[in-house]
Amino acid sequence: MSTDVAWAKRSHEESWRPILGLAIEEVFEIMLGCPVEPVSGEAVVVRGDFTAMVGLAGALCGVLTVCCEATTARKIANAMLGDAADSEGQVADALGEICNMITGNFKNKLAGRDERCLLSVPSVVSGGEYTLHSLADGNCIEIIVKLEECPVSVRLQLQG
Amino acid sequence: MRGYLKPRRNAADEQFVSRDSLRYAACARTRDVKWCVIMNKIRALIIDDSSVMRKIVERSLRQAGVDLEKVWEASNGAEALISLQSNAVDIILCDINMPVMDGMEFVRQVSTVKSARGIPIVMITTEGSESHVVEALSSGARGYIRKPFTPDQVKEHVLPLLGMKS
Repeated sequence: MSTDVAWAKRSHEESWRPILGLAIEEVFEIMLGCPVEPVSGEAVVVRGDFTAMVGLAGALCGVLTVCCEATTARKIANAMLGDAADSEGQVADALGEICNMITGNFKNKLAGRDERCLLSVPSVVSGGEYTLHSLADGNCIEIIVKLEECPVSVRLQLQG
Repeated sequence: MRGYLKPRRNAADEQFVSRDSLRYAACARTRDVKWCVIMNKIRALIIDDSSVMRKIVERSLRQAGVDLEKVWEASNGAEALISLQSNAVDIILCDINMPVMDGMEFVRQVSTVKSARGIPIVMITTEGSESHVVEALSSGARGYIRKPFTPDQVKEHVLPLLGMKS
C-alpha cells in the first residue's frame, strides 16, 4: 500500500468515525429512548448471536453491520416495540431496522455523497457460528457502544 | 335508522351526538374524508417491509394525537395498492426502500386506484437525500419524514394534512 493511499484511508476513518458515532447515538436515543455510550473497541469483545447488515452501493460501496448478543437484540426489540417482542423474527426485524436507520443516518450526514449512494434492504443473520467476509477491502470503522451495559458493535466496511 | 334520528325526550345533546355518529358512519362509507377528520377518527394505511416499524409508526400517530379508527398495514407498494381497492383511508404513511414495489413506485401508481386519488401520502424513510425528497414530493407525496423520527415530527408533518393543528 502506498503512503498516499494509506493516508487517504486513515483520513477517511478519522473524519467519518465521529459522524458514524453521532448517527448511532441519534438512532438509539430517538428510536429506543436509550442513550448509548461508546466504549473502547479493544476492551470489549461482542458475541454476535445476531448480525444485521445493510449494503451500500454507488459513491460509497460496502456494508454496515450491527452485531450483538441475543439478549441485547431482544432488549432492543422490546424498547422499539414498547412491549415484549413475541418471536425471534420480530427481534431480527427490529435489529435490521436499527441497522437500516444507522446506515441511512450516516449516509445523510455525508454531504455530497448521499445523493449517489443506494442502500439495500437489511438482512439479519442469527446464530453465532459464522464468519462474515466482506469484499469491502478499504476502510473499516468499528464503534462499540454500550446499551445499559450490553455491548453492541457497529462496523462500517468500505471498498477502497 | 330513522327512528334513531328522532328527538329523544330531554336529550337534545344526545340527539346531536347521535346525528353526528350517523353522519360519521355515512361519511366513512362514502369516503368523505373531511367529515371523518373533523370527527378525529382517522383510517390510516402504513406501508413498510418491517412489521416493527409499522407498529412504531402507528404508535407515533397515536402519540401525535391522531385518533385512529382503523389501521391497515402493507409490507410493500404492491400489497398497498391491493389494500386500497377495498379499504378507504384518510392518510398513507409509506417507506421507500422495500422489496417487490418500493415507495416511489407506489406513489407513482397510487393515482391509478380511483378511490385513492387525493389521499395524502407521507414518506417515512431512511432515504433522506435532497433528490429523494424532491422526487417523492414531485411524484405526489405531501410530506417527508426522515428515520429516525420523533412523535413530534410525525405530529408536525401529519396533522396539518388531516386538517388538525400540529
